[in-house]
Amino acid sequence: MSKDQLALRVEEIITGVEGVAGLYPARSAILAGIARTLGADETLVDVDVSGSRLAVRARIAALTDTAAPRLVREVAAAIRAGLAREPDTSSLQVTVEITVCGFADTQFS
Amino acid sequence: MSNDIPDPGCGHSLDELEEYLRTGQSTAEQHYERCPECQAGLAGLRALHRLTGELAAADTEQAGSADEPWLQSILGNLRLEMRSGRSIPLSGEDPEDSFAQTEGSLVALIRSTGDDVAGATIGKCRLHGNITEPGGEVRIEVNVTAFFGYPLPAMVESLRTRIADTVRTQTELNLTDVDVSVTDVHERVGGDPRGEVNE
Repeated sequence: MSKDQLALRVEEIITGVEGVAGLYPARSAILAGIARTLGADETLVDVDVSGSRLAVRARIAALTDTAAPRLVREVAAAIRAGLAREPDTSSLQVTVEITVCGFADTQFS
Repeated sequence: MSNDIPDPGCGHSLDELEEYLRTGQSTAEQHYERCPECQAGLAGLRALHRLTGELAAADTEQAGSADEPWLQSILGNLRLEMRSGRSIPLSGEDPEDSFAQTEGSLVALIRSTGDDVAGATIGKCRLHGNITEPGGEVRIEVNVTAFFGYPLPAMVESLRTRIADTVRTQTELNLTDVDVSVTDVHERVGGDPRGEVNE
């Protein structure tokens, strides 16, 4: 699984967690915009594999009717559970960094 | 609502957001859709548009003027609050994990919660305290523009209750107080608001 494929898989896991309204680019929106302008591949989630460790970094929006403190823990648990089922990542030690950057009444389209 | 000062945060200004809301078009549209700071700014501007749209006809011209002090005050606060601000920690079960929420996201949520109270528009919202410490104490300071005719004590109580519920649900901070000040009262088009404040 390539780094981009891994990032997309994590993105899929996160947006599948109930209470997540959407994802913001893990890098600043400005850097993401520059990358897009330059035609570079862009994923919303940042993943970094180093040896046996996998670091995941994501910025999310929470639904307003969901408690953010509980949500971030559920997102981390979902990432670990999801990656444990993937042959390429099941043996990696996963660390998760989640920042809630916004709240929304509905999920992003 | 012009302002030549470039806004901090993501690099886009409140003026650009205002132009985007007015025309529905912008070369930065994709950015606005994915930037939390810009989304907070757009939400604030939409609330402000609702407020100015509901002001009495006699006030409307002035309300749309950038020179109007109260409007400048709200815009100034909105500009400030577009920053992501401090990082508020959230606890995790794995010591290797790191969870947080931005001050800007919480302020935008409080602003939105307050704007849902009938007759009220939040003009300023500040979080006081050492919110970067886990479980740190926080005092919320909110200034409100109210429409004439709504019972202010009930409005203030509703705001305090809603904001306190929001902060206790959405953060792990230790809320010490919610200070609400009504700083402006304006007349609504059509007059009688029936004086009902939603609970």
